[in-house]
This record gives sequence, C-alpha cells and structure tokens, in this order.
Amino acid sequence: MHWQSTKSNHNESVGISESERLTKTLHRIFLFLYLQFAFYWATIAAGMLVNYYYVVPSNVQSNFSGILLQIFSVPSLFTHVLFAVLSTSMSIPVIILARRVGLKKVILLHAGAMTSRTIGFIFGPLFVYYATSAISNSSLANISTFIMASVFLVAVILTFLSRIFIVREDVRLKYSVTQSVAPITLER
Amino acid sequence: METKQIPNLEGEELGNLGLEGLRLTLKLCYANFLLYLLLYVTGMYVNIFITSGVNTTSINDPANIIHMVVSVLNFAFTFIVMVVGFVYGMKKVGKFSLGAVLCLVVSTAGGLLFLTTGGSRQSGAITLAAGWIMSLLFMLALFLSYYSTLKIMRAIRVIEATNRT
Repeated sequence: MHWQSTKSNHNESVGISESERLTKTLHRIFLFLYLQFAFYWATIAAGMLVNYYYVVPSNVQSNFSGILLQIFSVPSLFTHVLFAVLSTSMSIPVIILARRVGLKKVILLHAGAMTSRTIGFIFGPLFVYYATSAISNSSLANISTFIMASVFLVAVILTFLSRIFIVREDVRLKYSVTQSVAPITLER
Repeated sequence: METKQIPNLEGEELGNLGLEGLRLTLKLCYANFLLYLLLYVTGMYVNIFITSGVNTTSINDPANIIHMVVSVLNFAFTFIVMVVGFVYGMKKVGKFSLGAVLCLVVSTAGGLLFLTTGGSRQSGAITLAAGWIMSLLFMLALFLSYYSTLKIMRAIRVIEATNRT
C-alpha cells in the first residue's frame, strides 16, 4: 500500500515536471511569435515607405547584381528586406520548438508561412526588375508587387493559425495536470 | 466519499458572458478577420494598381467604395467585441479591441486625408504621409484584434477543459 502510494506520487511528479517542461517550451514559442509579429509589422511599415516614396532609379541595371545592389543602397528598401528576412526566420526556432513538443500542425503552418514568404522574396526583386528602365513594364511590376503583398498576408494568416493551436495545447496541458493535482479539494 | 477537484484558474480571464456568448463573439471575431482580409486585398489593389501609378484614387472608384464599406463593417465588429470585453469582465479583450478601434479611427482619418489631398503618389507629402499612417495603423489594428480573438478563444478552451458553463 505504501509502495503503491509512493509510486503514484512519483508518476505524478514525473507528470508535472514533463508538463512544466512542455509549458516552458510553449512559452518560448510564444516569445518567438511575439517577435515575429513585431517584425511583420515593421515589414509592413517599411514596405509602405517603399510603396509610397521609392521609385526605381533609371540607372539600375536589370540583372541580379544590379537589383541586389539597389536593395543595399536604399535605406527603406533595405529595412523592408531586413525585417522581411527577420520575420521569416522567426519561423525556424518556432518549428524547432514545435518539433520538441510534437505540434505537427504548428510545424506545417510555419513551413507553409516560410514557403509563401520565399515566393515573396522572388516577386519582390521581380518588381524592381520590371520597373527598371531597360524593361519598364509597369503592369508586370504591379502584378509582382501584388503577389508579394498577397503571399505576405498568407504567411501572416498561417502564423496566426499556428498560435491558435499553441494556445489550445497550453490550455490542455495546464488543465489536464491541474485537475489531477489541484491543491483545493471539495468533499461532498 | 466522492471528491471534486477545483482547478486553479488564476491568471485566466473567463468573464461572465458564458460559453455560448463567447462562442458567438468568437464567430464575430472570425467574421471580422474576413473583413480585415478583404480590406487588405482591396487596399493593396488600390495602392498598387491605382495610387502607385500616375492615377489618383477617386472616391467613386468601385475598389475604393468596397474598401470603405468594408472598413465601416470592420470598425463596427471591432467596436462590438470591445464593448463585449468591457461589459462582460474580459478587460484584456476590451483593451486590445479598444487599441484596435483607436487605430482604425486614426487610419480612417488618414485614409480620408489621403483622398482629400489628391489620392495619388504625386499629390505631395501630406497625401503620402496620410497613406503611410493608414497602412501602418491598419496592420496594428489587425494584430490587436487578433490578440483579443486569442483571449476569447483561450477563455472558451479553459471553460471547456474545466467543465464550467
């Protein structure tokens, strides 16, 4: 009887420490998601600066190095790309941490978000390419920008959805354990 | 002797709306997200295909009319969620939604200033600044509404997990 009780207590403590570990991992994911949302917002802020104030100069070459050089030489464009990269890269620690706690849906959603951002990273420079004086195709430049903006929104939606699953898991962990070891007990 | 254990709900904001009311509010939040989505798409369309060129954004433009009608609905839905939050004891929901409402008010003012000062990229510094503020605060409102939605969703999950009604 005494042995059974000890074993039960041992299982409970193991359950709690495991649950605590999982909860800590979930909270780390929350931190990275906060950072990701801040970077998303900064991406939009800098992106709108580009949208309203930036004009592709006539001397920009319509090749890879010319476009790359342009990104690094214009502060608003550089800031926009920097925050875009930072916000996308925040999905990497989220995926790693989600793997640890076995949140498959979160992994898939962030992989989807990164994929859609990669599409954005192709269409962003394409906007500069089509707007160069050598190509000068405004309709394709506009379509490229629109695709870039649309896939950005897709990424935001996917990461939003991922947080819903993390909250669900957090609640499940907290209350599946709390209910079995709660200090308050009513007798009836 | 039967025992019933009470989980510790410290830090949870469940309010007094009840499960059904919370579920209804969550549906309203999801509908609001569809409006945000529509606002983003129409806004980007106007921004990229009309404003970025030499054209001005006319107040009678169909895309602009859809954008403005949706923005009114979006404001109404966000406002309702804010009132529900404050009235039914979910302060965080109320505060996040209040932030979103304020952002939407200022961004609407920015949008109107954008239109009235010319509505194109070549209309001058005030037009561009107004457009930039509109876009920036729209995104902030989206994030704030999202956090209030998460708080409602969490309250529903906690109530379900602890078998409260």
